Amino acid sequence: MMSLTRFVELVETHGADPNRWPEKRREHVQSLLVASAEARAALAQAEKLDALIARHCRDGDEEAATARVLRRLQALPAQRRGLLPRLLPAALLEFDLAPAWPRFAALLGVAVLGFAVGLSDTGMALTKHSASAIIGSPNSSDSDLSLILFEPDPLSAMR
Amino acid sequence: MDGPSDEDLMARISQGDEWAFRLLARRYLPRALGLARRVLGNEADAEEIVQEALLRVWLNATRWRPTAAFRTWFYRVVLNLCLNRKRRAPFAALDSVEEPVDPAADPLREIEHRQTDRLVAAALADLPDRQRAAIVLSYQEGMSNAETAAVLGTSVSGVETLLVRARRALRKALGSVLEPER
Repeated sequence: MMSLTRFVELVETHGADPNRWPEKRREHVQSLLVASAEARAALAQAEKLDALIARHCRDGDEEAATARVLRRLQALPAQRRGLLPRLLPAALLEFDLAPAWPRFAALLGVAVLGFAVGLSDTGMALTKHSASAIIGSPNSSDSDLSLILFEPDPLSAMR
Repeated sequence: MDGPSDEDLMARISQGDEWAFRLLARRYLPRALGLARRVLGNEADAEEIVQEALLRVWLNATRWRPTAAFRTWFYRVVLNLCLNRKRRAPFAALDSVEEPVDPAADPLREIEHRQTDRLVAAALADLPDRQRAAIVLSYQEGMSNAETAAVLGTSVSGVETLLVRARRALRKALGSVLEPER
Protein backbone atom coordinates (compact mmCIF):
# COMPACT_ATOMS: atom_id res chain seq x y z
CA MET A 1 0.00 0.00 0.00
CA MET A 2 1.27 3.46 -0.83
CA SER A 3 2.19 5.69 2.12
CA LEU A 4 0.31 8.93 2.77
CA THR A 5 3.47 10.94 2.10
CA ARG A 6 3.95 9.33 -1.31
CA PHE A 7 0.28 9.87 -2.12
CA VAL A 8 0.45 13.59 -1.27
CA GLU A 9 3.57 13.81 -3.45
CA LEU A 10 1.67 12.06 -6.26
CA VAL A 11 -1.24 14.54 -6.25
CA GLU A 12 1.12 17.50 -5.89
CA THR A 13 3.02 16.34 -8.97
CA HIS A 14 0.16 15.19 -11.19
CA GLY A 15 -3.01 16.72 -9.76
CA ALA A 16 -6.14 14.96 -8.57
CA ASP A 17 -7.14 13.34 -11.87
CA PRO A 18 -6.18 9.63 -11.71
CA ASN A 19 -5.89 9.60 -15.52
CA ARG A 20 -2.82 11.80 -15.19
CA TRP A 21 -1.11 9.55 -12.62
CA PRO A 22 1.55 7.11 -13.80
CA GLU A 23 -0.22 3.79 -14.33
CA LYS A 24 1.97 1.79 -11.96
CA ARG A 25 1.29 4.16 -9.09
CA ARG A 26 -2.43 4.32 -9.78
CA GLU A 27 -2.82 0.68 -8.78
CA HIS A 28 -1.46 1.30 -5.29
CA VAL A 29 -3.71 4.19 -4.40
CA GLN A 30 -7.06 2.45 -4.07
CA SER A 31 -6.28 0.52 -0.89
CA LEU A 32 -4.82 3.66 0.71
CA LEU A 33 -7.96 5.66 -0.02
CA VAL A 34 -10.11 2.96 1.52
CA ALA A 35 -7.96 2.79 4.67
CA SER A 36 -7.01 6.42 5.26
CA ALA A 37 -9.30 9.38 5.97
CA GLU A 38 -6.30 11.71 5.63
CA ALA A 39 -5.62 10.44 2.12
CA ARG A 40 -9.27 10.99 1.18
CA ALA A 41 -9.10 14.55 2.61
CA ALA A 42 -5.89 15.25 0.66
CA LEU A 43 -7.53 14.01 -2.55
CA ALA A 44 -10.65 16.12 -1.93
CA GLN A 45 -8.53 19.22 -1.42
CA ALA A 46 -6.50 18.48 -4.58
CA GLU A 47 -9.74 18.06 -6.54
CA LYS A 48 -10.98 21.43 -5.29
CA LEU A 49 -7.71 23.10 -6.26
CA ASP A 50 -7.82 21.51 -9.71
CA ALA A 51 -11.38 22.76 -10.19
CA LEU A 52 -10.45 26.32 -9.18
CA ILE A 53 -7.47 26.44 -11.52
CA ALA A 54 -9.39 24.81 -14.39
CA ARG A 55 -12.20 27.34 -13.95
CA HIS A 56 -9.67 30.18 -14.16
CA CYS A 57 -8.06 28.63 -17.24
CA ARG A 58 -11.31 27.91 -19.05
CA ASP A 59 -11.63 29.15 -22.59
CA GLY A 60 -12.50 32.79 -22.53
CA ASP A 61 -14.08 34.80 -25.27
CA GLU A 62 -11.12 35.34 -27.54
CA GLU A 63 -13.23 35.99 -30.64
CA ALA A 64 -12.69 39.74 -30.72
CA ALA A 65 -8.95 39.46 -30.03
CA THR A 66 -8.65 36.71 -32.67
CA ALA A 67 -10.33 38.95 -35.24
CA ARG A 68 -8.02 41.86 -34.38
CA VAL A 69 -4.86 39.79 -34.76
CA LEU A 70 -6.04 38.28 -38.05
CA ARG A 71 -6.78 41.76 -39.40
CA ARG A 72 -3.27 42.91 -38.51
CA LEU A 73 -1.85 39.87 -40.30
CA GLN A 74 -3.70 40.54 -43.53
CA ALA A 75 -0.71 42.07 -45.30
CA LEU A 76 2.02 39.46 -44.91
CA PRO A 77 5.67 40.28 -45.64
CA ALA A 78 7.79 38.22 -48.04
CA GLN A 79 8.94 34.92 -46.56
CA ARG A 80 12.62 34.35 -45.93
CA ARG A 81 13.96 32.25 -48.75
CA GLY A 82 17.73 31.77 -48.70
CA LEU A 83 20.00 30.82 -51.56
CA LEU A 84 20.26 27.21 -50.40
CA PRO A 85 16.63 26.27 -51.09
CA ARG A 86 16.97 27.58 -54.63
CA LEU A 87 20.21 25.69 -55.36
CA LEU A 88 19.38 22.33 -53.85
CA PRO A 89 16.74 19.95 -55.14
CA ALA A 90 13.65 19.57 -53.00
CA ALA A 91 14.56 16.03 -51.91
CA LEU A 92 17.76 17.21 -50.24
CA LEU A 93 15.82 19.88 -48.39
CA GLU A 94 13.84 17.16 -46.66
CA PHE A 95 16.92 16.73 -44.50
CA ASP A 96 17.68 19.36 -41.95
CA LEU A 97 20.32 21.22 -43.97
CA ALA A 98 19.29 24.63 -42.86
CA PRO A 99 22.66 26.28 -42.20
CA ALA A 100 23.03 27.98 -38.87
CA TRP A 101 24.95 30.76 -40.55
CA PRO A 102 25.72 32.84 -37.49
CA ARG A 103 27.47 29.88 -35.87
CA PHE A 104 29.42 29.05 -39.02
CA ALA A 105 30.43 32.68 -39.36
CA ALA A 106 31.66 32.73 -35.77
CA LEU A 107 33.61 29.49 -36.28
CA LEU A 108 35.20 30.85 -39.43
CA GLY A 109 36.10 34.05 -37.65
CA VAL A 110 37.79 32.17 -34.84
CA ALA A 111 39.70 30.01 -37.33
CA VAL A 112 40.94 33.08 -39.22
CA LEU A 113 41.98 34.70 -35.93
CA GLY A 114 43.84 31.57 -34.95
CA PHE A 115 45.74 31.55 -38.24
CA ALA A 116 46.55 35.22 -37.87
CA VAL A 117 47.89 34.80 -34.35
CA GLY A 118 49.85 31.72 -35.31
CA LEU A 119 51.50 33.37 -38.28
CA SER A 120 52.34 36.61 -36.57
CA ASP A 121 55.34 37.42 -34.41
CA THR A 122 53.16 38.30 -31.48
CA GLY A 123 52.32 34.63 -30.91
CA MET A 124 53.20 32.45 -28.01
CA ALA A 125 56.98 32.35 -28.63
CA LEU A 126 59.02 33.76 -25.73
CA THR A 127 62.63 34.65 -25.57
CA LYS A 128 64.82 32.89 -23.05
CA HIS A 129 65.01 36.13 -21.09
CA SER A 130 61.30 36.61 -20.69
CA ALA A 131 60.75 32.96 -19.76
CA SER A 132 63.27 33.12 -16.93
CA ALA A 133 61.83 36.45 -15.76
CA ILE A 134 58.48 34.75 -15.32
CA ILE A 135 59.78 31.75 -13.42
CA GLY A 136 62.36 33.77 -11.47
CA SER A 137 65.09 31.18 -11.80
CA PRO A 138 67.94 32.46 -13.92
CA ASN A 139 70.06 29.36 -13.45
CA SER A 140 67.47 26.84 -14.31
CA SER A 141 67.17 25.15 -17.60
CA ASP A 142 65.27 27.98 -19.15
CA SER A 143 65.61 26.72 -22.63
CA ASP A 144 64.15 23.34 -21.52
CA LEU A 145 61.29 25.10 -19.75
CA SER A 146 60.48 27.26 -22.72
CA LEU A 147 60.44 24.14 -24.86
CA ILE A 148 58.02 22.53 -22.47
CA LEU A 149 55.76 25.54 -22.03
CA PHE A 150 55.84 27.17 -25.41
CA GLU A 151 56.50 26.41 -29.02
CA PRO A 152 60.04 27.79 -29.24
CA ASP A 153 60.66 30.56 -31.64
CA PRO A 154 63.65 29.26 -33.67
CA LEU A 155 65.36 32.64 -33.62
CA SER A 156 64.89 33.41 -29.91
CA ALA A 157 66.07 29.95 -28.82
CA MET A 158 69.41 30.73 -30.40
CA ARG A 159 69.93 33.95 -28.44
CA MET B 1 -9.23 17.74 -35.65
CA ASP B 2 -11.01 18.31 -38.90
CA GLY B 3 -9.26 19.46 -42.03
CA PRO B 4 -5.61 19.19 -43.01
CA SER B 5 -3.02 18.42 -40.35
CA ASP B 6 -0.72 21.07 -38.94
CA GLU B 7 2.21 19.51 -40.78
CA ASP B 8 0.33 19.56 -44.11
CA LEU B 9 -0.53 23.21 -43.57
CA MET B 10 3.08 24.09 -42.71
CA ALA B 11 4.25 22.38 -45.90
CA ARG B 12 1.84 24.57 -47.87
CA ILE B 13 2.77 27.68 -45.91
CA SER B 14 6.42 27.08 -46.78
CA GLN B 15 5.34 27.39 -50.42
CA GLY B 16 3.79 30.78 -49.71
CA ASP B 17 0.20 29.61 -49.31
CA GLU B 18 -1.48 32.45 -47.41
CA TRP B 19 -4.82 30.65 -47.14
CA ALA B 20 -3.11 27.72 -45.36
CA PHE B 21 -1.45 30.22 -43.01
CA ARG B 22 -4.75 31.82 -42.06
CA LEU B 23 -6.31 28.41 -41.47
CA LEU B 24 -3.47 27.45 -39.12
CA ALA B 25 -3.60 30.84 -37.42
CA ARG B 26 -7.35 30.53 -36.76
CA ARG B 27 -6.80 27.06 -35.36
CA TYR B 28 -4.29 28.23 -32.74
CA LEU B 29 -5.10 31.89 -32.12
CA PRO B 30 -7.75 31.60 -29.39
CA ARG B 31 -5.78 29.23 -27.19
CA ALA B 32 -2.46 30.98 -27.82
CA LEU B 33 -4.12 34.26 -26.81
CA GLY B 34 -5.44 32.62 -23.64
CA LEU B 35 -2.00 31.22 -22.81
CA ALA B 36 -0.23 34.53 -23.41
CA ARG B 37 -2.87 36.48 -21.51
CA ARG B 38 -2.56 34.26 -18.44
CA VAL B 39 1.22 34.29 -18.46
CA LEU B 40 1.53 38.03 -19.10
CA GLY B 41 -1.54 39.28 -17.27
CA ASN B 42 -2.05 41.84 -20.01
CA GLU B 43 -4.46 41.58 -22.96
CA ALA B 44 -2.74 44.08 -25.25
CA ASP B 45 0.66 42.46 -24.78
CA ALA B 46 -0.85 39.03 -25.31
CA GLU B 47 -2.19 40.09 -28.73
CA GLU B 48 1.17 41.56 -29.72
CA ILE B 49 3.04 38.44 -28.64
CA VAL B 50 0.75 36.03 -30.49
CA GLN B 51 0.85 38.23 -33.60
CA GLU B 52 4.66 38.21 -33.44
CA ALA B 53 4.73 34.43 -32.98
CA LEU B 54 2.47 33.89 -36.01
CA LEU B 55 4.56 36.27 -38.08
CA ARG B 56 7.61 34.17 -37.25
CA VAL B 57 5.74 31.07 -38.36
CA TRP B 58 5.03 32.72 -41.72
CA LEU B 59 8.50 34.20 -42.24
CA ASN B 60 10.42 31.07 -41.29
CA ALA B 61 8.09 28.39 -42.69
CA THR B 62 10.71 27.32 -45.26
CA ARG B 63 13.11 26.41 -42.44
CA TRP B 64 10.69 24.53 -40.22
CA ARG B 65 11.22 20.79 -39.92
CA PRO B 66 8.59 18.48 -38.33
CA THR B 67 10.98 17.16 -35.68
CA ALA B 68 8.42 18.10 -33.01
CA ALA B 69 4.65 18.59 -33.14
CA PHE B 70 3.73 22.02 -34.45
CA ARG B 71 1.66 22.73 -31.33
CA THR B 72 4.65 22.10 -29.06
CA TRP B 73 6.93 24.26 -31.20
CA PHE B 74 4.43 27.10 -31.57
CA TYR B 75 3.58 27.29 -27.87
CA ARG B 76 7.29 27.28 -27.13
CA VAL B 77 7.73 30.33 -29.35
CA VAL B 78 4.76 32.06 -27.69
CA LEU B 79 6.00 31.24 -24.20
CA ASN B 80 9.56 32.39 -24.89
CA LEU B 81 8.26 35.68 -26.25
CA CYS B 82 6.08 36.05 -23.15
CA LEU B 83 8.93 35.31 -20.74
CA ASN B 84 11.21 37.76 -22.59
CA ARG B 85 8.53 40.43 -22.38
CA LYS B 86 8.02 39.70 -18.67
CA ARG B 87 11.68 40.35 -18.00
CA ARG B 88 11.18 43.86 -19.27
CA ALA B 89 7.81 44.66 -17.68
CA PRO B 90 6.29 43.77 -14.30
CA PHE B 91 3.24 41.54 -14.11
CA ALA B 92 -0.09 43.17 -13.40
CA ALA B 93 -2.77 40.71 -12.36
CA LEU B 94 -5.57 40.63 -14.88
CA ASP B 95 -9.11 40.63 -13.62
CA SER B 96 -10.48 37.18 -14.22
CA VAL B 97 -12.70 36.79 -17.25
CA GLU B 98 -16.14 37.90 -16.21
CA GLU B 99 -18.91 35.62 -17.35
CA PRO B 100 -22.21 37.13 -18.30
CA VAL B 101 -24.56 37.05 -15.31
CA ASP B 102 -26.96 34.16 -15.43
CA PRO B 103 -30.33 35.62 -14.38
CA ALA B 104 -31.46 32.25 -13.05
CA ALA B 105 -28.41 31.81 -10.80
CA ASP B 106 -28.38 32.53 -7.12
CA PRO B 107 -26.91 36.07 -6.86
CA LEU B 108 -25.06 35.35 -3.63
CA ARG B 109 -23.46 32.32 -5.22
CA GLU B 110 -22.46 34.43 -8.20
CA ILE B 111 -20.79 37.00 -5.95
CA GLU B 112 -18.97 34.21 -4.14
CA HIS B 113 -17.76 32.74 -7.45
CA ARG B 114 -16.46 36.08 -8.64
CA GLN B 115 -14.62 36.69 -5.37
CA THR B 116 -13.06 33.24 -5.61
CA ASP B 117 -12.07 33.88 -9.23
CA ARG B 118 -10.29 37.05 -8.18
CA LEU B 119 -8.44 35.21 -5.40
CA VAL B 120 -7.32 32.52 -7.85
CA ALA B 121 -6.20 35.16 -10.38
CA ALA B 122 -4.17 36.94 -7.68
CA ALA B 123 -2.63 33.68 -6.45
CA LEU B 124 -1.59 32.73 -9.99
CA ALA B 125 -0.20 36.22 -10.54
CA ASP B 126 2.05 35.76 -7.51
CA LEU B 127 3.65 32.62 -8.92
CA PRO B 128 7.06 32.84 -10.61
CA ASP B 129 6.69 33.00 -14.41
CA ARG B 130 7.74 29.45 -15.21
CA GLN B 131 5.53 27.94 -12.50
CA ARG B 132 2.60 29.91 -13.83
CA ALA B 133 3.41 28.82 -17.38
CA ALA B 134 3.56 25.16 -16.30
CA ILE B 135 0.17 25.46 -14.58
CA VAL B 136 -1.48 27.15 -17.58
CA LEU B 137 -0.10 24.61 -20.06
CA SER B 138 -1.24 21.78 -17.82
CA TYR B 139 -4.74 23.06 -17.08
CA GLN B 140 -5.64 25.15 -20.11
CA GLU B 141 -4.10 22.92 -22.76
CA GLY B 142 -4.41 19.63 -20.88
CA MET B 143 -0.78 18.91 -21.73
CA SER B 144 0.97 15.98 -20.14
CA ASN B 145 4.09 16.69 -18.08
CA ALA B 146 6.20 15.42 -20.99
CA GLU B 147 4.56 17.81 -23.47
CA THR B 148 4.84 20.69 -21.02
CA ALA B 149 8.55 19.88 -20.62
CA ALA B 150 9.01 20.07 -24.40
CA VAL B 151 7.33 23.48 -24.55
CA LEU B 152 9.28 24.85 -21.60
CA GLY B 153 12.55 23.40 -22.86
CA THR B 154 13.20 21.46 -19.70
CA SER B 155 13.07 17.88 -18.42
CA VAL B 156 9.98 16.07 -17.16
CA SER B 157 11.36 16.14 -13.62
CA GLY B 158 11.92 19.88 -14.07
CA VAL B 159 8.26 20.34 -14.94
CA GLU B 160 7.18 18.15 -12.04
CA THR B 161 9.20 20.34 -9.68
CA LEU B 162 7.57 23.46 -11.12
CA LEU B 163 4.08 21.98 -10.71
CA VAL B 164 4.72 20.77 -7.15
CA ARG B 165 5.95 24.20 -6.10
CA ALA B 166 3.11 25.94 -7.89
CA ARG B 167 0.43 23.72 -6.35
CA ARG B 168 1.91 24.15 -2.87
CA ALA B 169 1.99 27.93 -3.27
CA LEU B 170 -1.59 28.00 -4.60
CA ARG B 171 -2.82 25.74 -1.81
CA LYS B 172 -1.24 28.09 0.72
CA ALA B 173 -2.68 31.21 -0.93
CA LEU B 174 -6.17 29.73 -1.34
CA GLY B 175 -6.29 27.98 2.04
CA SER B 176 -9.62 29.40 3.18
CA VAL B 177 -11.29 28.62 -0.14
CA LEU B 178 -10.04 25.03 -0.10
CA GLU B 179 -11.27 24.23 3.38
CA PRO B 180 -14.05 21.64 3.41
CA GLU B 181 -17.52 23.13 3.56
CA ARG B 182 -19.30 22.62 6.88
